[in-house]
Amino acid sequence: MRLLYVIIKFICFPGTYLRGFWENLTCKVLHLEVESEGYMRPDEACGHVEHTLASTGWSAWLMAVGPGFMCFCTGSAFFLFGLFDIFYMGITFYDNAVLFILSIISMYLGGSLLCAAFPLTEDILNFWDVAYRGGLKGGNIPVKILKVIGIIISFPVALITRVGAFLEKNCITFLMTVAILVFHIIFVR
Amino acid sequence: MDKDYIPGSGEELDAAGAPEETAASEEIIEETAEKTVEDAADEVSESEDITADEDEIEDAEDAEEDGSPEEPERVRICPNCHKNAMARGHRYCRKCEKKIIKVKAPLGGYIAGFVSLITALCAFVLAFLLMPASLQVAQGDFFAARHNWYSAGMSYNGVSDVITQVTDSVGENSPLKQVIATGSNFDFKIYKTLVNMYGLFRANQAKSNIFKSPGSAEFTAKSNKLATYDAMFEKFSNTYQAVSDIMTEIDYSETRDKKLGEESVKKMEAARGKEGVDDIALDYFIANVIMACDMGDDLEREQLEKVKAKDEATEEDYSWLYYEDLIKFYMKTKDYDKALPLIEAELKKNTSNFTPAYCKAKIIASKGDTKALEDFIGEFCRNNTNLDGSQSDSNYSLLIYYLRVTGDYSHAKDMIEQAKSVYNLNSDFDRQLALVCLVEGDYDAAFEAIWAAEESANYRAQMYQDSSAYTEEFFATSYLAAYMCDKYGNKDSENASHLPEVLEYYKDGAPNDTVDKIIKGELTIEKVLTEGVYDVA
Repeated sequence: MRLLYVIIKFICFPGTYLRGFWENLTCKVLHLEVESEGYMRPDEACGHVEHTLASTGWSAWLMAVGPGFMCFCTGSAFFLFGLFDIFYMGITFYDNAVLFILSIISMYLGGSLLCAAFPLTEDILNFWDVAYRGGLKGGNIPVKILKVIGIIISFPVALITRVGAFLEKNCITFLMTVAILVFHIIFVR
Repeated sequence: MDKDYIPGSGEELDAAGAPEETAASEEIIEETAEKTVEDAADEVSESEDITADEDEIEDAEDAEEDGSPEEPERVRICPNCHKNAMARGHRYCRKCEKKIIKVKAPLGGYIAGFVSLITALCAFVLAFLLMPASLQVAQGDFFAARHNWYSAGMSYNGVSDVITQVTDSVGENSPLKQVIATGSNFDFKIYKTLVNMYGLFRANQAKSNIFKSPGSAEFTAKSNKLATYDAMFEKFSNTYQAVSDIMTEIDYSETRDKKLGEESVKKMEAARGKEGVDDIALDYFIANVIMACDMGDDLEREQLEKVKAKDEATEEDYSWLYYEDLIKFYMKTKDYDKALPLIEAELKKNTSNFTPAYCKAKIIASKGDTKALEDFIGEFCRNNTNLDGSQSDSNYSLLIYYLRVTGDYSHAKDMIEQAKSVYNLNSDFDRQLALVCLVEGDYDAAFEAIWAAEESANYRAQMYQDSSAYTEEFFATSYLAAYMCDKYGNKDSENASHLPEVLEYYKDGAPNDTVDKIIKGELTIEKVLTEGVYDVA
């Protein structure tokens, strides 16, 4: 599985590299020490950076969700543009070769970014521990209320991210992206 | 006071030993002043070691109390390199710590990140502009997947309006106009919709108007998807070319009798096996000759069923050639058991196909089951409502039919008026109005209605080359209304002057047996239009 994971990460190298960069940048912002150099590593952390774990809720949240949010936003834009142009507007190579090729590249970029939209399980589990397992210890009532609100608001995204991290670790996000493309090739185009 | 006493040294003077302790204090202070930072650090680590030693002693004492053996000091390994010991008070070993401090994001990362943000923004804008048209196409695809080709066609037709709205908003001279445009694959979707709605022949007639994208010429020449349709159409048109003279002769012949039919069939059979002549298409054209020359129901049935059998034996779908003729034949001969499977098969391929749907409605009505008729028409209407929720013309026809079957003629007339206000070129509404007037005995109004139907049918045939209105029901209603108006009407309506013209057209007799029997008095209009299939054909 590790080998398959690494192969897929290298196939989707634009997304992998950008993911690593966004994580690195987030560590810099949060003053978390980055322990490794390079993003395209042939191990389980390919596309991610090894770093010290964040200790506060907000830092852990940003570390877990922030880079993925960047990848998701940029990836969606690329992917949707390519998808709309080729499968729905029906542009072919004969109609506009440049636009057709750009759409293909855009879909590839978008797909690779979407395949790198989830963090390592360590990051999301760290957030889970910091935010949810710690409970409501410490602080006065207003702080506790804010904590509760934060927990409620963050829970859906945290759950999705946790599930997504598992899926990405097992290469399932890549399969899902491929499945979307195959569906469109068979039923839409 | 002793002169060697140093205030604040922490030493207390006593009567006897103060001078020695004081001196020792002085020595310590002097020594401290001379030490360097490194010495101080060493001292610190020594003190840490001392602390460690103290910890060790504590651990050993605890172990002794517990009775467990003394454990060696736990050395914490650097979590980064997993080799060296972690420096005390630090998170890593000294070597890793120096390395980590130097780890920075590469310049390439910053460039890639920046470029990806800018290009993603551009892609987002383009995706946003393409989204309305794409959603419209997706809606059409959804209907097409359910074989609801009428609604699919309406959705696809709306795409150009959506694109116009978007391109108007970006400006006339904007380069984005080149991006916000449909391509050849979209044109193919429209073509496929037309094939499924009207058949391959009519779709091919409109092909040049459908494929308008810049790359259409190459697409139509090289596309595998289109090749399937093109191959079948080529077989059909090559076969037609081979027998066109014979067909033209029949079309222009004044006497289409059995003799002409037999000669024509013989000539067509001679063409079988020749290059470019497709077997199934040839059999279909022979069936056309048999129908045109009225060579008898048995021969017609035999030929049409032969075409069907050959079609079922091939992988290709030739049903578009013959299904309508065969269904109508079974309806004419009241072979409803044979008609129904064919109708169901055609409705499955195209849920908005009016002819099979109307035939099915008649079959249900003939069984007297108005509830089943209501359910069937209700389902058809739900599947074929326009995108804005209004009724399609097929829906109106079936709803008017239902109201006639249930005898609600006043609502039927209201619905006819409503339908005509929306679809003023659909002659079936006026035809059904003529039937209502015939039942009510108002033969002048019946003729006026059928004359209006004739005018709209003629207009469609002239302007759009669409002769689909000229069905057996149409001719039967036309003749019956003209005959009844001529015989029993006042003949003082607006278009009564056209009566001789219409009757002249049918000088050879009634177009079908039902009307013939009504005219001969063997059947009454009431019986025909209030029982059975509630229609004159």
